[in-house]
Amino acid sequence: MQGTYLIKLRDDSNEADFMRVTGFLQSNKAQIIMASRHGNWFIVVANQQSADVIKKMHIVKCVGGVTFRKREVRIIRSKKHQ
Amino acid sequence: MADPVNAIVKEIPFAELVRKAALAIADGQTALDMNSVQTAQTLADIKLDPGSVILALVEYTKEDGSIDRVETLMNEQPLSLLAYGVVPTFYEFTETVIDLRFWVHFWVRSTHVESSSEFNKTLSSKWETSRKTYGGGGGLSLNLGFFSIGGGGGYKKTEAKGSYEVDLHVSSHTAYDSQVYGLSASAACRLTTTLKPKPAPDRAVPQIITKPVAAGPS
Repeated sequence: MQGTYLIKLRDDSNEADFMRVTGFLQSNKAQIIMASRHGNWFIVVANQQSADVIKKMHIVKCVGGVTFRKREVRIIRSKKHQ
Repeated sequence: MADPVNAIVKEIPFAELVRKAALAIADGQTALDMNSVQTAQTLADIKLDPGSVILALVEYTKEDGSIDRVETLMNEQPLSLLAYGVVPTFYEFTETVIDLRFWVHFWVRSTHVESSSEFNKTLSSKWETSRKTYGGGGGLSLNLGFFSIGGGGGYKKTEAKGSYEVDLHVSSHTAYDSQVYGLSASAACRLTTTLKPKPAPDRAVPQIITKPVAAGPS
């Protein structure tokens, strides 16, 4: 079952840890939606099994399911005064 | 003998089974909720850099209504992923099925073995013996004025006859009775739960109210 997950690495993780998780996600055909190297987090679409494996990694701080709330970019019209 | 199947059925702790299943599900639900709360906290801690999120588009229009130019209104402060619109997913157990199956096999095997035998035998025997004895003797004697000569002989015959008869009768009877009771019971229990996402609690995710700065005339 596919789901959207937030993966947060431990604060003391390094770039190698980040790349290791990235490689695991790619090898398991997970779709990385958002990621931040400096923030050590990912938002991915993956299956339950992959999420369970990642959750057991010692460099992972938190894995949780997330949902994207409908977000609209508002449009503000301002009339230009002469 | 009482029916052991009913006794086994009575010994199955259905109430305890349901109670433990409910407690296990409650523990699981608590763990799921705590994980969602931890995810919400993590989402709140993760900040997006200032100027990385488009909050609004500002369109400046002319008097005739045509668009003069468009500006983007970016976040001036770090914006959390939670405020950005990524919210934790909450799950709940919507359905639980306890499938308990058991098989009881009870059997009684009775065995009766009886055997008898008879042996009859008549033994008879006859015997006969005969013994003959012959004997003889002679003598001469001289005596004064008297002369005698003599002899003697003997014959002896001994006969014996006998018979015996034995009737032999042997009778044996063996009887064996046994009853073997067998009871085998096996059970299988399966717990099936359905886990579905549920809406986040009302206060779990803050409501985002976007108030762009007032766009002034250029």
